[in-house]
Amino acid sequence: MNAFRKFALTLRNSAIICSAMASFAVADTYPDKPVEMVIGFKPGGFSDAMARKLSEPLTEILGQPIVHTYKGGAGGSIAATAVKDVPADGYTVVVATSLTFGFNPLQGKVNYTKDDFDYLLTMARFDTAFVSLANKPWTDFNSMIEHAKATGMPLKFGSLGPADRLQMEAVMKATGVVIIPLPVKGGANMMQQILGGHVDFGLSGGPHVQYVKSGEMIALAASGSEPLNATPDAPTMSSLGYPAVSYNSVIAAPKGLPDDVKAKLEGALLEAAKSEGFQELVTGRYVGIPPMNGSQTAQSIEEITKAMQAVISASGN
Amino acid sequence: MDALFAGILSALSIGPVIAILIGVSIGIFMGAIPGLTAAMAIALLSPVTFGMDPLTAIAFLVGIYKGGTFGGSISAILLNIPGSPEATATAFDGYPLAQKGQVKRALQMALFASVGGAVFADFLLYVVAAPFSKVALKFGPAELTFVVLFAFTFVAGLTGRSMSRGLTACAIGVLCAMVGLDPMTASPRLNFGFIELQDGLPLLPIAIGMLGVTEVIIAVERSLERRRSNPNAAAATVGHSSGPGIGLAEFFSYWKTILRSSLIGSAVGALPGIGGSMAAFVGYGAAKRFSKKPEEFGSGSVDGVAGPEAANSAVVGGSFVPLLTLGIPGNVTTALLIGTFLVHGIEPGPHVFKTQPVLIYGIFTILFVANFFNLIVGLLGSGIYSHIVKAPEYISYSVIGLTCLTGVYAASNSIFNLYVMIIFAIIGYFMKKFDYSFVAFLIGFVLAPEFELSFRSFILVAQGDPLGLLLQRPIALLFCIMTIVAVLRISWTEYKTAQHARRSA
Repeated sequence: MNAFRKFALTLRNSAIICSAMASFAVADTYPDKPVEMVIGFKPGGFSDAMARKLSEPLTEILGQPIVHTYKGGAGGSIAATAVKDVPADGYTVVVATSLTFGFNPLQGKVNYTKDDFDYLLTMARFDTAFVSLANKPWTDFNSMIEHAKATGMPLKFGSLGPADRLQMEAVMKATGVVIIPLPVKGGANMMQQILGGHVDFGLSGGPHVQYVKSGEMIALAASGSEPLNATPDAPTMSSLGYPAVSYNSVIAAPKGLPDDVKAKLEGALLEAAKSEGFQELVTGRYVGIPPMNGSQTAQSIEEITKAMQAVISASGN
Repeated sequence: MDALFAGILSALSIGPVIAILIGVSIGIFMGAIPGLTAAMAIALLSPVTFGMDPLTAIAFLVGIYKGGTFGGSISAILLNIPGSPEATATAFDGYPLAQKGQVKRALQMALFASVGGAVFADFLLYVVAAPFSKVALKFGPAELTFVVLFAFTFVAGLTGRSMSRGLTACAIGVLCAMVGLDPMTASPRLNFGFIELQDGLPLLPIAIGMLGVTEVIIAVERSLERRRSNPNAAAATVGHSSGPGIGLAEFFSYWKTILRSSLIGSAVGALPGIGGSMAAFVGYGAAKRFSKKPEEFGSGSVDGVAGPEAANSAVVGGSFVPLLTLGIPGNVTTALLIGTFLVHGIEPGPHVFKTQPVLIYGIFTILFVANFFNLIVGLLGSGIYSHIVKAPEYISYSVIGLTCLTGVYAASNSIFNLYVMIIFAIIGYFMKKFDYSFVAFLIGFVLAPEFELSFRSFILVAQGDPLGLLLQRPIALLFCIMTIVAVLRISWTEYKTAQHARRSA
């Protein structure tokens, strides 16, 4: 009996000491449990592949396992909504895109804003291009617009989402050419629509590269302001004077991380993104960029928000 | 020719063969558990394959894909819960068969039809992959509009008690599919402020709710009635025995259904974006349309098991056509496979046949070997699983109810989907009471998004002249005419039957 009481006392004392220690030295002990990574896409896609690859070195650096949760849908907004309200303790991060934070709130359909998050990392930029078949009577975006002007034929445009549709509406407003946006589900279907001649041109985030290499397709323009990795010769939308839309892969956490936790997590993520394994994956798929740290990412989200506001006002919505 | 033999030999070496066996076993297991699908298994296990050599990795994943397609039918037959969405149609007649004490027959028919459909589709892939991929490219919005419209009328018109009832249930299904983002403007509709509904109502919770949970409610009702009338009765069981299996001769007597469904499955599989669920529904509808005993459907027809199972397994081979020849995945599972191909430095597409013929023939061989293992593993299992129906009802229905709940939650990590399941269980209960067909509802729900997208694109492209555009697209025109003929024929048959009934009454 005595021995049991003694044991219980020791247990209680050590519990008190532990909790006291925990409240003192957060950064020293962080992370002392697995970190949950909420992935805003369905498992198996390229965003998922990147998140998994990133988690390998990240586990080693943080010394804790990374647990993946999938909350796909609504362009990452479901995951962002879920993560917004969890405690900002560094044990939950969300993997989404720059448009999840910079564009979706502008449409007024989600109940978060870009300011609800602490941005930690930009790990890749999708190599999104407007592409068409090579045997069309044009060679790039501008000559396609000129051709449409000259013939008066409407252009059928394969669209992957609301952002590119607004971008094309802005082009329509600026040039007077009629562009019919046809929604296409996913990059693979887009290839089928383009190859089968069901659309004149479409947006693609990567599957087109093999067809460009084989000479069946051409990249008309980069959707954003940065040149493409796979086809660097294609002009960018901003160089052509149209609003630009970039698609970056971003990791964020709910707003209000303790400074020391944020510094540690941000550093670990940046180091993981620079690791050889991760870079091999992203450069192989033409989405590699020098990883951006938290403040650079926050800055780029600001810029993308401004750019998207410009797209919305240019498209007249 | 050298490449052919080299490919076959490389696929028959020890690594790939063991990988297929393990893959098939995992696939059947995952497929049979509601909420876990082959697609999920591939997503979870594909990193495991990164260390293997390419052919072994592909063998492993193809094994999961094939095993999972059959595995879904096990729980559909035993528990009335489709283990995977494409097994939904299998439950319509598989479960009544199990209740009638013919569970072994249903399970083995599902297995044989699966393997038969798969072998047929793989053979077709081997022979016509390249030319067929060119045809698949021709399917744009106009063609898909009328293909889906045809499937709509055909299946909804045939599966219900009458065409008007079938089409009503189908229309409710279409309405439910309208929840989510408008595909054109990306503005939310009918989501009542729930962000979870922004991507629409999920299929699996609805299918499990309507089939599984509704079944539990009805079983509870039934046992309460029984207890009221006879308080001392022993606990009932779902089926009294597992019954005899299916012989080779009996299997071959269903060759027409299997061949028809295999063709449907191969064709649907080769068209991007439609997928296994639709193939299974159309296979089921076609089996009923051409059956000599259509009245048996819904209450335990062996044809009703063979039809959907041969079709959804043939989809696997069909889906490899656009996958290998164009690099275009037709469904979620093949999209995952392409991811793995790319990791191993294989870029599927028009060039892979020229650059890596040995690998292509290796993959063809793997498909066949996987069918063989599917048969063996499935046959070993069917004897064991079929005892499940002998459990007392209060045990089996508790397990079914619990499996529905955990399965839906496991599939999505979402409590919201559990609510969806429960709401649709209630809807399903009333549909059953008022005799509206689940099949027609689900086919409407499954096909509506594809139909809406294609139809609205078709109208946009037509620029105010849809008829003119239709006349320029021969494939679309053909399906349009077939739809009209189907509607007329079904109405005529129903009119005749009604007249006949009146006269004899």
